[in-house]
Amino acid sequence: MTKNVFKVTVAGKSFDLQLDTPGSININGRSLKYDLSPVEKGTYRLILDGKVHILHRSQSSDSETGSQASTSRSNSSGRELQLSIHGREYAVTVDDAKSLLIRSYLSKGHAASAPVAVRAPMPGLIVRVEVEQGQSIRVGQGLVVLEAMKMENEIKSLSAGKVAAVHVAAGKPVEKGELLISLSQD
Amino acid sequence: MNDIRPIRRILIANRGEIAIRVIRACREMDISPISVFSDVDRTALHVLLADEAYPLGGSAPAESYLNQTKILEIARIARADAIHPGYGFLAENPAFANRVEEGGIAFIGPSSRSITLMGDKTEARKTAQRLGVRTIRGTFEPLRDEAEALQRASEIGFPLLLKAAAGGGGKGMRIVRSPSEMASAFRGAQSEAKTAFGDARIYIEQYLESPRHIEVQVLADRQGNTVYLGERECSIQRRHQKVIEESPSTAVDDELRRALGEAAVALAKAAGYTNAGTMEFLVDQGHNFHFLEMNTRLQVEHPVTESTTGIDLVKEQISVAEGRELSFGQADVSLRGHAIECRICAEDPENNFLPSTGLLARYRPPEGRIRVENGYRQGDEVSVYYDSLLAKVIASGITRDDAIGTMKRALGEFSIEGVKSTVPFCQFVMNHPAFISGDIHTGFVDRHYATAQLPEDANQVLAAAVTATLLTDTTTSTAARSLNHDKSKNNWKLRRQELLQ
Repeated sequence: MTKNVFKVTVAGKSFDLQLDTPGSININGRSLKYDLSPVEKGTYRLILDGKVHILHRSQSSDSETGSQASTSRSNSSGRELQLSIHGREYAVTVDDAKSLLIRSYLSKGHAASAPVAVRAPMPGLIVRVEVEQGQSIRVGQGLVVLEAMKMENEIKSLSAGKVAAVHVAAGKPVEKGELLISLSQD
Repeated sequence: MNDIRPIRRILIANRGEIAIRVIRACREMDISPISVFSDVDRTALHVLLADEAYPLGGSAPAESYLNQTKILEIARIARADAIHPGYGFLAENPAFANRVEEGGIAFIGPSSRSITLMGDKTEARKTAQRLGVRTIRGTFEPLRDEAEALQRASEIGFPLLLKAAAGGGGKGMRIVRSPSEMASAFRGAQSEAKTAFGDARIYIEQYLESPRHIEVQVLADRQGNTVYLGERECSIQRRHQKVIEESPSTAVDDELRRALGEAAVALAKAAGYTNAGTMEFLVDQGHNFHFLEMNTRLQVEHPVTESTTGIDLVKEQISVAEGRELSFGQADVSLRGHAIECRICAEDPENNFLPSTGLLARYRPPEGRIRVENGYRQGDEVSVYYDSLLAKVIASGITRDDAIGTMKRALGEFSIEGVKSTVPFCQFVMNHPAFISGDIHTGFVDRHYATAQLPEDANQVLAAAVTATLLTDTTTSTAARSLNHDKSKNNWKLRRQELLQ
């Protein structure tokens, strides 16, 4: 692979991208014209093959604070960017030749089924825990009832599995992103 | 009763878009708007737009916008002649209305007596029954306990609804489809009702499958004039809460409109009702209407009525509260064109409409030939403390199709990043054949809406891939140079820096 070649993964799709001449990008063997401009902080306007897109780069909650940190991350395991378009969020992984190699090496020793973390989608108060450790869970089954914005919200399981651990109890206030339940997958 | 007391200074005991709506009406009537605010709302739009603003302290509703004593104290200090409660919070609290009146301040709404009479859902049902207005089968007294709920349920039949006697807005409401679901539903409804209204009383109503939710706006002065201002169809709901409303309804003809309107006026008169209020009905497949409840306040969806009648409901509320007679009668009310409202809420339409909180990293409401009632600005935090409503978009047109077209355009322009919103859901509805044909009912979302139906745009995916790559490529490469439309080196550096932020 040459220097300007990238493997990009987004929304379950993979693209081979190559930056060729200025203003032109090769995507899976097809050359398209592009023009990217910042609109305001965090917001960009992309014209790709004549179509206008407005993208927003989300401030990710993890370590990325500046370009330096980003650069160092890019050397090890590729770059991950959160972009949103019209409210739809895209987690994009951009690998160059080097990071792709490291990634493939790392993934070899990786266990096949890591536990699924069910996290609080918003801060609130735990009203009820509807499952217990060891219980089998089907998709869509209610796990925890969280009160927020004056409403009781049932957090439902997005996957089937077994409850590996319950991390909260009724009456406990939780922050956004806090671990509620761990599920082990079948 | 015929004394006119002009109002010069209104304290608005609310926040968000409705506070701003009232502030604007005040300005247009040369009245001074006074805001109150919680800790997290220090720089909220309703504070910035007011003449005066006073802190309530705290952020949770109980400490802030529900703090009656504090609000009354501020009203006195600020020399307010009147308090507008908006909707939610203290709008339907008879004790508050009473305290306002006793303090010699005008409450812009009905009397505390009317709120008690109609705000209590079981009392309102009894009134309707007495007047011969059909109600939904159910209990006319609150339930003592789960055991009584089960017993009454077996008489009424499943499925049924548990509802809060003090309720509204879908809070404290549960569908019960079988006896085995009763226990947890009863407890859930009770605890939610207690939290939302400080009143855990629950009653039962038969659950009608696929009815339409149609409501009638009424306006009454103190001289005894009561008019109805057409209907609003509010059948598109999620979690028992309205999300899209329109006027007129595709199911209502002139005859039904008159019948609904006359029932609404009779109910309002029976309650000695003054100011703006709404009678809610369920209309079944056979076009029979059943009285559901009254909302003794301004509704979220009032703009669709304003659009089709040309009447400014908030200004009329203020005028009636001053003691003035309505300047028009029933014969003067005519409906023109069609209006649709979409509620833009900070909720995730792809995850069961769970509230979504966080920073509004980008927020650009639509412009052009459209009405937007907006409560937020870019950079504001959507907190966990309050209702999820960010803004309302109201499209109007000569025909329904015209209004739908305008709404689709406006939703496409609405740019919200940082929190999830109901914009994609509203777009889904505007494009759905059943909605377009007017074939809607309260089961619309359950029947037609699946998250998977929100289309993923292949062009968007590609745009994300390309942008991420260009933003990642720090190797001073072709990508960076390509951004350099301008040959100036300084400009190039500036752009590069901006992009890397």
